Amino acid sequence: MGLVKKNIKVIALLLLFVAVSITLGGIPSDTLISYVGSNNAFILMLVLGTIGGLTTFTGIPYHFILMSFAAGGVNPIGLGLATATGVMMGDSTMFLLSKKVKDSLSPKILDIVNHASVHLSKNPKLITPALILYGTFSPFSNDFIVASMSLMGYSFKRIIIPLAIGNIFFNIGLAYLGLYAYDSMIGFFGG
Amino acid sequence: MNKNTLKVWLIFIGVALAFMLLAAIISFRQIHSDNDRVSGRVVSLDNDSLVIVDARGRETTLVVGEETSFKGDKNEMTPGALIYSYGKKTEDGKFISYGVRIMKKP
Repeated sequence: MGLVKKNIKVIALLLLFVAVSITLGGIPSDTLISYVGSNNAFILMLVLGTIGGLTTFTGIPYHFILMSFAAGGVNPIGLGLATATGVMMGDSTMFLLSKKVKDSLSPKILDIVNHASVHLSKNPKLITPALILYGTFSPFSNDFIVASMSLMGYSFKRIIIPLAIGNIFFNIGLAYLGLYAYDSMIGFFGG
Repeated sequence: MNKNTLKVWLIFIGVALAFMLLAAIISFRQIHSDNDRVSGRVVSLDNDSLVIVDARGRETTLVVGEETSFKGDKNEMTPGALIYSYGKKTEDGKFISYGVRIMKKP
């Protein structure tokens, strides 16, 4: 009970993110898209990427919309850049929130965070390539990495920029995958 | 690696895996509940159908009805316009469109 009381702000923030993600997860993507006023594919992907980056558990499967646009003839590089920029904007919110919440953490959690930080600082040169690789190959949300590294005291430039570079590669790759293998991908995921 | 270090790493990996698992479950649920979608340039159109061609030259016939919603100026939907549509793919290769959005004028 004491642990819950000490971390009430952190727990409330986590519950808020989970609730927003599950709520957005329950709304069909096309209903969300219909609320976005723009008819420009790049602006649409920027907004969808931002929503995806804001929500902890990828609020909408923007990946398939990105692939569908690329298959339809929209420039894959432009689509990848617009989506990655949106995701970066969403991740920046998580970075700032984590910075703010640090003061509310209990000493026990801070101890774990500091402990992990010490281990990471043993190989500082590996952090940037590791983040670029994660951004390039992982289809999952960046939020856990952004939040934990922000709590460890790493700067915006150190976390968000490498992840954004990785996300640019990931989303351009995804757009090309859509261009050449959209039907196979949809078939594979049973969509 | 001492016991304390191992504990820290296990907590981190555990929380990260829990995040990923939840993300995967939500994403898969969304993919299965979502509509099909298609996008491409308009080749021809009449009152109840629309033929589009994708970047690789494959044609899809979109069945449009009264209940199909249009986003954007319907008058701009002329051959060459880039559209995005969501709906349901049928067994005979057609696409029943629930909504059409004009993404680029011809």
